[in-house]
Amino acid sequence: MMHLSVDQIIDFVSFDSLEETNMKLAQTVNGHILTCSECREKVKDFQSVFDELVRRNADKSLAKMYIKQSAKEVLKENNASL
Amino acid sequence: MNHYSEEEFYKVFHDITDTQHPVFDSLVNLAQETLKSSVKRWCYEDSCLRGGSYEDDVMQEILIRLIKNCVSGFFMRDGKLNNDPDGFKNWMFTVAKNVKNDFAKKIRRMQFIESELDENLSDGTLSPIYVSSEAEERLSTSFRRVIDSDISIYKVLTWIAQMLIIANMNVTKIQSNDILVQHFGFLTLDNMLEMIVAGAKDIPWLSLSDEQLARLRYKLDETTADGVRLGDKTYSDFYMKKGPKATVSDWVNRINNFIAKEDK
Repeated sequence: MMHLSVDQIIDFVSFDSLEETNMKLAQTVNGHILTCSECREKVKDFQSVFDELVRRNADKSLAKMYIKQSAKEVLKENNASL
Repeated sequence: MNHYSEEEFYKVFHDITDTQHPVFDSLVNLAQETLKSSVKRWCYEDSCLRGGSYEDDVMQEILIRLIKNCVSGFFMRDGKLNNDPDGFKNWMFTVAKNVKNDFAKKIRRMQFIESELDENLSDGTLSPIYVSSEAEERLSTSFRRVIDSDISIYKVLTWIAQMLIIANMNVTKIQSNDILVQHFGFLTLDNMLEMIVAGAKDIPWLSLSDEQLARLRYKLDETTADGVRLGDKTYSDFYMKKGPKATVSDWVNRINNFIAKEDK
């Protein structure tokens, strides 16, 4: 089964308007996580980290950038350790 | 109305759990109808939201959070389909109340910053953020000078980032140092420039021309003594022993002194 990309998950957990592009992304992500428990857990984890960051500094774009950078670092470390 | 029929709930349930084409219209309608009067009351009862006409903003945030969390937080919360209408109502109210509380915290924080800003403006320790056209011209000139100077790229980025934070977040210079360290410390200089470009595009005196951007990118392509490209280095790699905030403050002061000298 194809999984959601980290970028898709981050865009999903951080969108902040009901515009069409976001609703399409919500359809893709929600449709997928109905049947994929692995991605569902990832979405939950990213969502709680993002919400906590926003709670602390209230700036969504910085929180999104932070989460993207952290994910990139983790992926880089994982690739290096393989 | 704050109660819905089972039929209405099952419409939402079927719309959301359609794996091929989930839709959210019925969820949005149900949530709006169910929560409208409560949101109005909560906003009235909260001293910092009362009279601020925040109901629509709070409702919008609630709808976004419901859409994001409906599958992972309710319909598939325990790994199997959950179609309990009463449970859904309780869950929806919990989400809505949390959103309202977060929203109120955000407004409180903004009100605090605004009051501090007023205080700083009245005692002359802070320049206004939205500036007159004369001041805008002066800031633009200073900005161009800094970009065109031979000052180290990480100091230049620090200076621009601080301007950006002050302009975008309505904070004092001291608060901006904290925010700068907190949010940029872990970023590479490449990422830092990327964020600055995105954030500065709506501020006339801070927006970068293609030529200026190319100049900054050229500087980021230079390599350091250890053979690493500057743009790949993390911002915090450049901190001095005196600590992050003192370092940031030192760099900004150096650039401000440079501008002051150029002005003479």
